[in-house]
Amino acid sequence: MRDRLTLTPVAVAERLALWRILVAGFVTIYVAVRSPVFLGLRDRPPAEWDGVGPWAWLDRAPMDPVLVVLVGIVVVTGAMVAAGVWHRVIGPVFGVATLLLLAARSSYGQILWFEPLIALHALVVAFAPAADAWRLGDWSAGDDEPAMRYGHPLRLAAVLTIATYVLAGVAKLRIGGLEWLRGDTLGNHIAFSATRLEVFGERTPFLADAALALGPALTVGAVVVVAVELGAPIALLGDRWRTGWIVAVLAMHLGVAATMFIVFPYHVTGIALLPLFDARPSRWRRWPG
Amino acid sequence: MRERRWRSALSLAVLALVLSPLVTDRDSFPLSTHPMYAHDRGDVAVFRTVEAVADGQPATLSLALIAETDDPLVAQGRLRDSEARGELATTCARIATRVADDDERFRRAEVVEVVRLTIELRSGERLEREVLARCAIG
Repeated sequence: MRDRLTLTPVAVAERLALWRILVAGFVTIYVAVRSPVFLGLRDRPPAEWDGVGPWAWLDRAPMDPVLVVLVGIVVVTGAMVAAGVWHRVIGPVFGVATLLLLAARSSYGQILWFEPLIALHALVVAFAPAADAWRLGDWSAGDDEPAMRYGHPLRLAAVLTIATYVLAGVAKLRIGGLEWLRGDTLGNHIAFSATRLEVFGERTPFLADAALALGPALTVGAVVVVAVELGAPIALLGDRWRTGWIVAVLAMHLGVAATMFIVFPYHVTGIALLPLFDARPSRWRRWPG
Repeated sequence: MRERRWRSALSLAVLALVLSPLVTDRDSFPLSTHPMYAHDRGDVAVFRTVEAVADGQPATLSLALIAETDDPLVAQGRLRDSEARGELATTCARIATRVADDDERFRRAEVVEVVRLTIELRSGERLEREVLARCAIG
């Protein structure tokens, strides 16, 4: 059975390198595109600041230039990490700056639920030997010998992805109790998202009305959501279990997008899920396995 | 073997940290309880938006005209912040200028109103419309 488990902690360098490029590339583009939002945090009322995570020690919002500098550092170092330039030095700077920037946004109360995993994965990439292959100036596959130093970071990243889904499932039951499974809360969120768009004259999600018309049948949707989240660890069994769970979780995200227009870009692009694919070199050569 | 042990120990420590909100029930960043969609928002919700009024009939402005964005969260946040800072009159005037300059659709509108709407979520019925700021167009 152990041999069937996915996430064997050895991998070749290029597998970790591929994930490095995707994570750092995503963060760079994400922060660059959303930079007006991050920089706009400077205009928020200071009273709204409630430092979380690495900012918990700070009871006042950081000075405006701090946010400007952080956005700049993340974009520049993100591009350098994607390119594999001076990774041992630049990687940690990128990981810590990403954590600080995303945590700053949450400190103003604007929480995007996919961002904690982005920050965690950026830290994994930052402190892993992720640029031993496929880097600027040396586009070779690196060490052909599978090694733990490449496999462990991928295994950790995969387990972190799974953990966040389990946490989300537990939160629903802890906060909403078994009542959450009736689907009323899910319907409430669908109605809220549609109404919020409506008051701005925007088109409402195309499946929102259909979902709300389901009434009690929304129970099925709620049960499926919690089952997918709490059942996430089955993906670690690999093969069909992994593939089946990934199909289910992508379908769940597409359902959320179609009923609420809320997209988890880091997840639906597959970057959050990529580490789940087998880290064994024999599988890597037939990737995606 | 030693390498494997310390790498596994490190991974387990990180995993324990990430799962620690299960025990502490404390939502932070990046150690979050991930309570997405877990809370019921209630049957009635309050939204801020901006409407152009022509012949007494209000019509909602686009996100671009309200806050130069395509994200309702951003627009909602800017109106909320503006209200908190007591700057809604300035915000209203700025939006009115954009309406006068850019939009054919609201040519007949006379005023712009920043409003707070109380809405019954399931039916979409507007229970209350409170004008927070009003300014002339043009």
